[in-house]
Amino acid sequence: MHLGDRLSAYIDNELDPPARSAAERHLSDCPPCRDELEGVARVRLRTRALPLQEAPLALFAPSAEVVALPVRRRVLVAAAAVATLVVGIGLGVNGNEAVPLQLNPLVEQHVARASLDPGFNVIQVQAVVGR
Amino acid sequence: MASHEAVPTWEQVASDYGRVIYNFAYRLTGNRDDASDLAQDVLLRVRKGLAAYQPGSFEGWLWRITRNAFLDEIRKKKRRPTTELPDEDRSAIRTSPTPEDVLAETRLSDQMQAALLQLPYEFREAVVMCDVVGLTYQEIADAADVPVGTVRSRIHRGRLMLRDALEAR
Repeated sequence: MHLGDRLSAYIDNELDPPARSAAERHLSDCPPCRDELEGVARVRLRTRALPLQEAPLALFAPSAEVVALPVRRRVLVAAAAVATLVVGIGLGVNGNEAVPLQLNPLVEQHVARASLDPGFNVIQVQAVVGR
Repeated sequence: MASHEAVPTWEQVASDYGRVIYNFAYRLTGNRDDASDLAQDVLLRVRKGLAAYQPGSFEGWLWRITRNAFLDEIRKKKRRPTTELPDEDRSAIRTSPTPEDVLAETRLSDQMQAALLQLPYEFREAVVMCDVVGLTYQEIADAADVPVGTVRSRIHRGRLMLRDALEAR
């Protein structure tokens, strides 16, 4: 009897030690099982090598209302959250009077450009917010 | 990433799992808009569900929510999410690739994504949970509410179908 789905369990390290040893003994003299193992191992590696996709910035916006908004608006709301964060950091560093008010328009400009220009990569912003 | 003691906050879930939920959704649907909508739906359900969450298998709980959101979406749209061509994959972080490298890698990713989309849902889900999300067989069994043996069989048969689809090209 061939190993069947135990081959996938074997390469996923999902067999207990006795079953693992038994599978290895079987593999040592069963060419068809070795072929099948090689095939599923190749597919497994290719699936695991699929490039990780960047998630949209809006996913990480903490406001529940955000999910109901159209895409461009969602990006703006998320960016407003970033702006608030940046202003908050400014406050912490500089004290009460040194609020860097000019940051807000800067972020808005950035996001306005990001939302209009398909070649402009919003994902760069996400790297800051998502971590 | 599993948490067996404390209940995480929504912000922790979004930050720790947002990207992997999105990637799960992307590999199941093959397109960014559906993946984005689905991931948002999942995070909304997490927000509503966290209050009632009892510390235990967080991975099982989270991926069960993710799976249910996806199945609801299929029912709502009354369509199989297998017909659309995948978006072109953007390559991951890399150092000065040649254009030929980029093309070859994109082609391999596109072929794999197209093959994934041909799998019946249960098999695609099992393979993606195992090889994209990195869940154990037990976690997949918890999420899909099936025995571990069923998960093992689905993963293996799914991989064999992928192998055959890719070799037929």
